[in-house]
Amino acid sequence: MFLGVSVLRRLPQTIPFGFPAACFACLLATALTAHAVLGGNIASVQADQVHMQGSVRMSSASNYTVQEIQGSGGIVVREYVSHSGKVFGVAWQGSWPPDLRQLLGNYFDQYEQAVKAQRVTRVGRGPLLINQPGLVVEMRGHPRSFFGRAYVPGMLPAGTHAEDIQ
Amino acid sequence: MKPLRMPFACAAFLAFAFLSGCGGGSSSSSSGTTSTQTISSSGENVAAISVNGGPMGNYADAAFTSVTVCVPGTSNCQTIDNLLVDTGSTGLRVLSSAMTLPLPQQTSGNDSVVECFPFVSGNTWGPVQTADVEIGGEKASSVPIQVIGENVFNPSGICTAPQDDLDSLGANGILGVGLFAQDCGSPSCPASVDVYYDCPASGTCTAATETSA
Repeated sequence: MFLGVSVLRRLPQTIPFGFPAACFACLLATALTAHAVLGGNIASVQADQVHMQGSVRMSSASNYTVQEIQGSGGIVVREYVSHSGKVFGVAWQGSWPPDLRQLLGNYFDQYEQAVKAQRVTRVGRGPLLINQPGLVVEMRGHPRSFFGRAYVPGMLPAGTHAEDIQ
Repeated sequence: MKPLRMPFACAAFLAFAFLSGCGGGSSSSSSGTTSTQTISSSGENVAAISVNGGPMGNYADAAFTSVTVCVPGTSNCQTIDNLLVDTGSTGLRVLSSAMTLPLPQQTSGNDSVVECFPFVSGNTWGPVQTADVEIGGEKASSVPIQVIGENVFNPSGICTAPQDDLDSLGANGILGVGLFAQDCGSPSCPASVDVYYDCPASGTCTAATETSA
């Protein structure tokens, strides 16, 4: 499941003698970029594509491009990339949620802390809404039908609205 | 090995109870007097629910019910109360802290089958075990249930934002009354969706494809 981690852990036992150093460097690079998506650069979209074993389709709007990854498990992820090459928002839908640790990258810990903090005052199975100055995460649905999105408000390109991320 | 399965009869009678509930309840007449309507009578194929804040008081009015769980084929049984009734999922999930029964573990080869089941508000992590389940006088024999929060298998890095205790779950478990026979996929739940895992006695759990029997 965690491609980068498993590659690093298994390599010492599985590298054939004479395995080209360049291949090792390539795998290492993939592993290192695998945890930088939301807030990361456009190269991290490729890490997501590898992680989801999916295909990518690109579309453009005036202020950003959308990289849509169709994963093998029927999960669709859309990554919103500014012209400066930064992923400022992600959205997903499918029978099951995507791997949020992978997708939220450096923002995952903030998301998980916020989810746990909400439970102190309220638990429930309704929609999830995390609305912090540096991170917005929304998720709704139920098993077999999940929808969600996450974005960094301060990274939205000029002229782009939160409603564009969906 | 098969994904969690909700006995069809149980789903049907609980659904009936809810439909009745939607049309029932209290109503006020225009003259200001209040009448109370009995939602349903007791009897076979009927399970009572109560609507309240749950055992921790942190729900805003949710439906809770009781289920009797037994070691398969025995009279070694336990009634679990304060189970959240959830119409959005399928299957029975019970906190390990609310269970005293030694239920048999479902296995895949030498590994134990463990589940990370996703909800919008978080995930439930724990092994899949086999039980006889009785609801409203109807009994399903040897069905898989999830035992949540049993710390034998480490969810670290796999099952994020887990709801694995009474504080975070606000209930002794979840009874999913859904339209599907399995909780994930039919006929199989693919490894790529990261719901089912094969866990060795020690070491790392691996996402696995589970096929319904």
